[in-house]
Amino acid sequence: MKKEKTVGLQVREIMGKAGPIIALILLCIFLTLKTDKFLTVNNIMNIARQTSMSGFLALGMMACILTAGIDLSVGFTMTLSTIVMAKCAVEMGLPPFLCIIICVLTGAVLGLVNGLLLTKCKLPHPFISTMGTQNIYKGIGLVITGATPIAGMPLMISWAGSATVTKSTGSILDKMPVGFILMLVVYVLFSIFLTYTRLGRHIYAVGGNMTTAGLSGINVDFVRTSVYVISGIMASLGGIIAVGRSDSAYPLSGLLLDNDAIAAVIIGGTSFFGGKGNVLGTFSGVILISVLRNGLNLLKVSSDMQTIFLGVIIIIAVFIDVVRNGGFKRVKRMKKEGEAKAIA
Amino acid sequence: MGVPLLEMRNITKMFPGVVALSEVNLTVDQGEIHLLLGENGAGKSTMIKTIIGINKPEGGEMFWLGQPMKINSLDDAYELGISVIYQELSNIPCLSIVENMYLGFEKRKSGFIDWKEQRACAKKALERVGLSDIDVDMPMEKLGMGQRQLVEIARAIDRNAKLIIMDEPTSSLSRKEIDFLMDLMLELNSEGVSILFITHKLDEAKRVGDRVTVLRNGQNSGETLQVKDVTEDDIIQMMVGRTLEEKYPKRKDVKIGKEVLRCEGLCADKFDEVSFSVRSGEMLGVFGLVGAGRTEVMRALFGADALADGKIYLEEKEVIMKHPRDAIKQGVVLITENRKEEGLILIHDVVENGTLVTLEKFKRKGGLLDNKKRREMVQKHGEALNLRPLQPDKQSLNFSGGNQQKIVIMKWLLSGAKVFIFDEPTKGVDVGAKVEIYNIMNQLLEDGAAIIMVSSEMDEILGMSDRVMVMYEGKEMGIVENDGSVGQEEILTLATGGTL
Repeated sequence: MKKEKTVGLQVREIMGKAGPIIALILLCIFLTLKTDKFLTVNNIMNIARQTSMSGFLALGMMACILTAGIDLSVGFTMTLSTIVMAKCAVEMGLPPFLCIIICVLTGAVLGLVNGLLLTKCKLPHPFISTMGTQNIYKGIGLVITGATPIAGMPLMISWAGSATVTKSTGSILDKMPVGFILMLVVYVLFSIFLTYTRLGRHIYAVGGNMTTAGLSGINVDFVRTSVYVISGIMASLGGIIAVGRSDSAYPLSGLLLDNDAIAAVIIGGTSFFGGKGNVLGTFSGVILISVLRNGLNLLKVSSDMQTIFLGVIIIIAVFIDVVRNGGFKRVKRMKKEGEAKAIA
Repeated sequence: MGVPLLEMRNITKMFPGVVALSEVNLTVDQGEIHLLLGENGAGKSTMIKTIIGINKPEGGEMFWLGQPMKINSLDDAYELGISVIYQELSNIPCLSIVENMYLGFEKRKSGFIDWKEQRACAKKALERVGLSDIDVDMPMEKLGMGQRQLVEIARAIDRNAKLIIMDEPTSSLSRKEIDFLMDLMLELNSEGVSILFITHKLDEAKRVGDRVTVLRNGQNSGETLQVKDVTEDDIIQMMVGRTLEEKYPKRKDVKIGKEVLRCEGLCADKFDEVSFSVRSGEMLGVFGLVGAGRTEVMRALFGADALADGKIYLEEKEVIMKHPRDAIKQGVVLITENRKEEGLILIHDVVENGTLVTLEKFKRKGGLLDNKKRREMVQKHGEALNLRPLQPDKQSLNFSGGNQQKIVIMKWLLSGAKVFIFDEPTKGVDVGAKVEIYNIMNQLLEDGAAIIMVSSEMDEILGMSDRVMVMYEGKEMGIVENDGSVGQEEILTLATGGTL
């Protein structure tokens, strides 16, 4: 009896860590059996291409959520940085390399604004500050473009989002998008950053318990500000990929992207209350959403129906998390204790 | 006497890995004030939770007025006539008195709350506890601690409680309020209400109690006795099971050296003109009742709160502590009272918690952290501190109170501080672990550190400190040598605003 329990616990632990990956594998097996197009090089590369932009956004979002925060402005941070880049490149004719730097800097500054609103203006929750800036960034983008896309990017800028690793060598790399490789590299670097640097560990500490972190000498405000800067930078990188794919900077490109980014992070097992989560989980979350969207397309499910599916998946993922952490029991216990106090 | 009001026979309660109660007996007669005494962790709270149905005991029987007691939820407890008054008040400060009194048990008329009836009943009950002039629509937060306590009692009276369980109701009250509460208890008792009284203060206990049951390590310590037949010393012996000398290990000859830290005229909102110093190898005890401003002084010294005025000297050099960062850099660290909220990151493991302050020291040449070394260091220090279980990857959530405290101490040990401020270091820690924590403190002193220990436990202050600073309502009442020349009486006099 006792042994069974420990085995059960172990299974639960493994499920907890590898949950998103297992779900992903099951989904892939299902789609392979159900459709003949899913397991083809073309389709997989297609998924890779779709993933690369949202992958960057999710990574920045993850940093925010790890500190028990959130960045609702990622979508339009991305849009506004690409618009600034496009203006510089297309209308002002600045060198492409400089434009890319300007794009990333814009993302960083927009993130910094979010961070400072939180830590210096002491807005109570980033949900509020980033909801505000989401609208502001969106509006600025629409105003400066007159609501029309800016097309005709220099090759160097659109390379990241449109090129493949090799050209006409006949190998599989001919179809591998550069953007996806770049995303993988950033994921690996980010994982190292979170695990092996002081700021990385401080992000977890601040999310785990802000009071304890502060009393342990951690500059909580600095850590909290920096995650929004990170999120802004990631959004701008995602933006460069997006611009490459469509060859234009489109003023409404950021619409609903915050939604997908949050979903990927949560499905990937990062705790919404902060302090817990890892890059591999977020990676699985991002891929899972792309595969799901792709699969539902192949199965000819309408995009309206797809939205319902995604919603259900988010809720299931979080529910699994709650059960895994014994939160179910905990909530019940808390309720009981709460009643105890009420009756006293 | 007749049948006992409440009889609990051979109650056994287990939590994963611990036997919290082992065959405990407790009988409360009708119309008596029964004392339930014991040290922290002796099982008193578990016992209360069992009575009101929050805990389901694994073994034993419970009877209410001679009938088997079926208690599955708090509603059942309420139906029987049991009310609990908790140590930490459980009301909602921003709601009004009357709302708090009927929270969850609102009086209703055709589905809507009957405010008129509630107000009338509340007024009647409040009169009984001496709060006749109070406006029942006033928010709870406008009342003092003592008055809030009385509101809770009024609530119990309003519900016609037959048994009122009071869990350390006097811990945050002034002397006058305590006197009033004691009188009220006797008055209620004379009207036939039974009271189960849990307290740490033996003088109070002796004043009102009829019979006493002592718990130790989750078991009955001796028989239930008539209060008039026992002395305070007898009770201490029953509670502790050993003498004070064993409780507070002696330091090997520690040389008290040069002054390390000196504070002059520290002022802020909650305290005024506080000056003290501490030398290497010395422990300065800081005593005061709840609300005396001890924690506030230490937080300001540590840079966690702002200081309005005053100077801090470290080894004769003036330092400014604007943020805990500054204090830590100077070698002054604070081990906070609330280890769960302020000391630990509960969802993180021992490695993360233990090395949180000292990550800088684990940097490799490339600037990346050496996580293997972090783990090894935690393993090593865990062994030295006798951390149990010694599992660096275990979430700190899953350690007992004493071992959680060791993790917090480890975090600061690694920082190599010179001045350790311990705020209530043994709160909620069991007896065995207490001794271990005292030993760690002694070791620190032997190694030349200076310690400031804030504590509300007189025993602990007298058992451990070299000197004692006493505070009262934010004022420093004096610093006395703890060489046997002053005792409990004198310190308590200072702590309640008197002079020697």
